[in-house]
Amino acid sequence: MSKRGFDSGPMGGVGGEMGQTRKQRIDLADLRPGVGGNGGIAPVGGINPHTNRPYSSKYHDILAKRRNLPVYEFLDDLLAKVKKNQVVVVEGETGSGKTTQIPQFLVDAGYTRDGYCVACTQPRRVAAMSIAKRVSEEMDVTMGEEVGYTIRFEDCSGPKTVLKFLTDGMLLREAMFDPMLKKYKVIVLDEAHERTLATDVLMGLLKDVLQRRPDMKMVVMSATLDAEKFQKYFGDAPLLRVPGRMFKVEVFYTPEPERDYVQAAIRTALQIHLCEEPGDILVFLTGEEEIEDACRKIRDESANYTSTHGELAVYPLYSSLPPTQQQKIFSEAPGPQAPGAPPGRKVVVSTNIAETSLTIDGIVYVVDPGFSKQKIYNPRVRVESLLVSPISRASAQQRSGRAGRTRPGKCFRLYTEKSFQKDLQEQTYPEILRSQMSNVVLTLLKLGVEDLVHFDFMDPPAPETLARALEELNYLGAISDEGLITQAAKMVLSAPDFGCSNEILTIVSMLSVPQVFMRPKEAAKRADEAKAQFAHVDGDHLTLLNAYHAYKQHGGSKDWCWDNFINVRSMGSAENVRTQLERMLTRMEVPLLSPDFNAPDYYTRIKKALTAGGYMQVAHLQKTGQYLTVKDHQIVSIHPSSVLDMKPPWVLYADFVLTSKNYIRTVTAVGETKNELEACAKRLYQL
Amino acid sequence: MLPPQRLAARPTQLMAPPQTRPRTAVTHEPIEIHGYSRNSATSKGDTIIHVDSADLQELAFKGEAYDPARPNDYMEFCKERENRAKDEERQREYEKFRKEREEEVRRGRNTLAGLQSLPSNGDNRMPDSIIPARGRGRGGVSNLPSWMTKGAPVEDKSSCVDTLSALESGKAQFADAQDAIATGGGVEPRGRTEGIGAALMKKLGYQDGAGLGRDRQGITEAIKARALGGGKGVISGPAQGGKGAQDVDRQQQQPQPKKKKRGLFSNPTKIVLLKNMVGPGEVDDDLQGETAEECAKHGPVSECLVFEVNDNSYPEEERVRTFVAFERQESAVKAYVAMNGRFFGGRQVQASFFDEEKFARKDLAPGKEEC
Repeated sequence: MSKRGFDSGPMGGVGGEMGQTRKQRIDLADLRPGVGGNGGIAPVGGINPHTNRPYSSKYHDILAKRRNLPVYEFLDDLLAKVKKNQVVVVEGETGSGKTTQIPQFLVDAGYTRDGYCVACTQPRRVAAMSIAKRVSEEMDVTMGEEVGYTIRFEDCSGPKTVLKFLTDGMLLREAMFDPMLKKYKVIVLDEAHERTLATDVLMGLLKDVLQRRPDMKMVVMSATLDAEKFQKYFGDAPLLRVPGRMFKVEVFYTPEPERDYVQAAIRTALQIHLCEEPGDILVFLTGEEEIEDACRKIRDESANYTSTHGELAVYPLYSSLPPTQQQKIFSEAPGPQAPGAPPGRKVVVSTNIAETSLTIDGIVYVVDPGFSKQKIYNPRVRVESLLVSPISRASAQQRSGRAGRTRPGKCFRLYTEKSFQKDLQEQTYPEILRSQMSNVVLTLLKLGVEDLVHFDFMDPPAPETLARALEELNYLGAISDEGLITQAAKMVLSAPDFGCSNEILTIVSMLSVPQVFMRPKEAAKRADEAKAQFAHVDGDHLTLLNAYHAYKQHGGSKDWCWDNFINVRSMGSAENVRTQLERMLTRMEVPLLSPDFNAPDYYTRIKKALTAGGYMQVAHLQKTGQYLTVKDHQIVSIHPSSVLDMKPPWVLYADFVLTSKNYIRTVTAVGETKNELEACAKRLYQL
Repeated sequence: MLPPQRLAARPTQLMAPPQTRPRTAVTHEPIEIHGYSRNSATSKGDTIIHVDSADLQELAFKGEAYDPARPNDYMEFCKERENRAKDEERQREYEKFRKEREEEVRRGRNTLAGLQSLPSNGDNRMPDSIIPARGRGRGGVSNLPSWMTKGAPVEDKSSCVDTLSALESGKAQFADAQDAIATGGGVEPRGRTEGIGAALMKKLGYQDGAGLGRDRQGITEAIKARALGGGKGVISGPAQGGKGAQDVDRQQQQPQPKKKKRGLFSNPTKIVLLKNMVGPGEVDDDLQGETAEECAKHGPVSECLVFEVNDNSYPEEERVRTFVAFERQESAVKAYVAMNGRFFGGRQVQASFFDEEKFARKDLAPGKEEC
């Protein structure tokens, strides 16, 4: 396909008039003397109020650049709006600087006094990290101190942190343990237009929290034209529109539909390299395999032209790529091979990560085949899958916009103009409509939301999807038949704080299946002996854990189970429940941790985690030698099947068995005193 | 370890429930019997079991003990007795589980949904009773488990009412499956998940046909994907908002849903077209016969034809068209109800009525109105 093959489309004028709006840039230092608590952006040569140290020279260099950002002009407007309203919607093109600057403005305006914190959510981990790094430089502070980030496997923030960047999933997780988000004064929801699952849930949740916390503020930042929807959702919140720094992007379509979009994309990228002016290329493809394959082909092919047309450096970009590899996309394009020879060029082949959240400077050409990998959930067959599907018009606009970041650019769409107009949808369906929801439901239940049917989602999911989620949770034992979150689920969710979520997961899965230990009457004695191998002095929960470990060590052998009077089928079921729970936790960004097995506190930690989750199901030893349950004051005895051979003062139980006598079954000794118990259960009380 | 009273259990009773056993004072010398296996499924490892001689006494009462006067093989006798023991053990175990389960149901235990049988493939799908088996078995239609052929749900793609009724009928199917397990000697009780989602939603005030959300404005039908093969597909869905509360209320005043269902049968013919019985290229010699056989359950079939569209531009599930001509229209309607939405080797069959004249002309390709 040659360049001539493209028709110039009507989309050519994207952001063409932006240049004019930027004409009245005024130096901020003059513009706003002393807005906010700390006097706003500090004057030249001043003392950094965050560190009480003089600003470094680097700070001033960066500050000069920051003042050139479009968003700077709107600082006063923004702060005035935030002051007057609880929710403000900011619509800004990519490149306006809203993500890096607005959170800082809020910090400087004094919203973090009295020990409060400003949170800014990002849909992607990489973005949270790189933005935090950038902002800490801009504010001239050490990363992890005043400015930090929290992502799934890393918490780089501390007690001094006033501005925290975190993934939307992490904020949701924080909300599980602090539903009022007491720590935060302002929540900035960035990239809200991406409508990730977590962002949608957060929005519904925050809408409620904001009502109960009038002092709290929220800024919703979105890139595209959908801002009205956000405004409406948040009770006609005011809108602040920030223009981006955009140059004209010329859009080309293919005259005929392409048969193989990957081949076409490779061809187009090479064509650009051979025929177009210097400038880097961004190619959108759908997945890791496809991207790696395309990179290889482009590299091989371009090697033939290095001498005549300059070197072509090819970089892949997808979310599972290690961060160091991801950083490579920011490297400069290679220079000329020899003096006088044509300069090299950079090609980034990316998934839709590069569509909005990551900004790569120097991109002039965009190749858009019109596809992306999208999640889709079919509630009828309960399968969630990833499907390579056509993108929406909004996505296509975003993609083409990436070409106009540094200078006028070109976007090559590998589909016809007719299909752009007719076949593409206006907007991508929000993730919540395309996902299975069990983890969302569990999160909401944990947050105390009971009426899931009328929860104020921006786009409520299909009823069938909710029904399936409830069924699955019930099936996994995470919610009861009454729709309430179970003790087991609470245990699992609070386990990461004790660093033993893996073990708790195992115990909970084992508890969810009956009759792990068989005790046929004919061989009761032998069965008891077999069980004694796994017995733990502190009780049955840990015995179950031991049994599972032993089962795993023996590779799930049927013979081994048989020899040790262990129910093979129950074990298989437990394993299965465990896998499913594990998957759900991963989606909820709950870290899966194991303490060191040889550490002296291995079992102590697990017991603490059990107590934290199951505080309501404890019983206290009475003088009579029987136990009294804390929850409903029943006199109970330990079931004869328990491995406990003494009577500890406090026990945790999993089951209450009503037979001739009241028994508690599956019992573990927890703590010697009530104080010890309460310390563990403190988190539960907060709920 | 265990409380002493537990360890000092009575000598094991092997054969019969205690209340029927005449406890005559015979020598209480324990007798060792070799070869008794405590597992009903595998016979692993010989176990030595102590048997009260009273047990043998009892055997004699039943006329089963070794009688030198009768010409029999002692080994065979032992084997027979062993089998009986196994049966009894199985029965006992089942009784135990049943009791336990009843107890659990009674006290509304909240730690676990009481599920044992899990999908074997380990992904987050639900038990087999809900998902039809994947892959097409040789037997095809005629080998469908009983619960699949009973009361197959009629699925109307445009309404959620049917989704829920499908769920409801799923419950019935589930009960069948449970029965099948119980009668088949299985001892594991199945979970009570099916339908609970719908039940919980109803408890929260969900009205059939409405959307979710504060103003019930949510979509009523899940977003769908049309697979195009090779991991590609088109995602589409009725993104229009669901019926608001008022609409639903209005709808409930008039018995709308029933009428709607009838709409499906507005002009039934004698010919039923079944789509998506198998995928393109999977048609084999048996399909025709098997389908005819299955459909004959609903009434005499005059003709059965399979037609495959070779045009790749058609969606995969539209390409294999199986036509069944019945002698009577009622049979066709019955077959339609039974077949539509049923799963056949992992595929969901889509049934519709087909024009009789066109069928007579053997004009079997998809017409314009179908696409």
